[in-house]
Amino acid sequence: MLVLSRKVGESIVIGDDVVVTILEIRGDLIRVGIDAPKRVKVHRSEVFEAIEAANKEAVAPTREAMSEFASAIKGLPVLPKTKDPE
Amino acid sequence: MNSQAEEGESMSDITPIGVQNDVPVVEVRGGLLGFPEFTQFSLIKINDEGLVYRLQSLEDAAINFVVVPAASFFPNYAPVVDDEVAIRFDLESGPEVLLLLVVTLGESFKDSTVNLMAPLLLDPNAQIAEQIIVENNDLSVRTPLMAA
Repeated sequence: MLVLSRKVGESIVIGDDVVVTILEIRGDLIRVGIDAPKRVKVHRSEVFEAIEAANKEAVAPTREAMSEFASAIKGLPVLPKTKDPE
Repeated sequence: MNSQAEEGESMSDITPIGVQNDVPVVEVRGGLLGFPEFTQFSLIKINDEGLVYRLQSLEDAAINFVVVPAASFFPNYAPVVDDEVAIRFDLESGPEVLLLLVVTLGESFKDSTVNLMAPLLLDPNAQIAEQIIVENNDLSVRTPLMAA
């Protein structure tokens, strides 16, 4: 990992079009500004990790669980009519 | 549903549910988070009312998810998406896009949760979908379906 020291107001350029600027340091909180083209997705890493973890938990449910789920849904009281993705 | 087959076996695992010619094939652009290598899926209806679907990878039988249409369970769900996503799916001109929620099945139905933070946006005409990360900060990746 490349490690750089920066002061408030200083920036780091990544590639051609991503600029990361240290905006403010207050105690253990550091505010970072990110200028990037819209095609570059910027997310807090914990959000990414939480979604990855949720997907990994959701993948390949057992047949039994799926079957029980489908019948539980069938037994539900009236739900609003849904549009069919097909 | 056929329950005699064992878990995790090959393609034969999915045939009982019925991979037919009329089952739509969907390209999930970029794959689901954590599974970027799988982008070709079939969307198999496993409930007559269209309330439950199985998103089945065409590349690996073991990669499959249960998804539900958000509108059916969370009629007030109004995720905020970034401009780039809005442009990619042409949301401004209001084509028919659907939000599907990935379900994590629990021990029982009431333990099952859905991911409201990262729904699948599906354009059923183009048969293209994407798992997007919504901008809302108050949504959970594990929201009980029963809360709907």
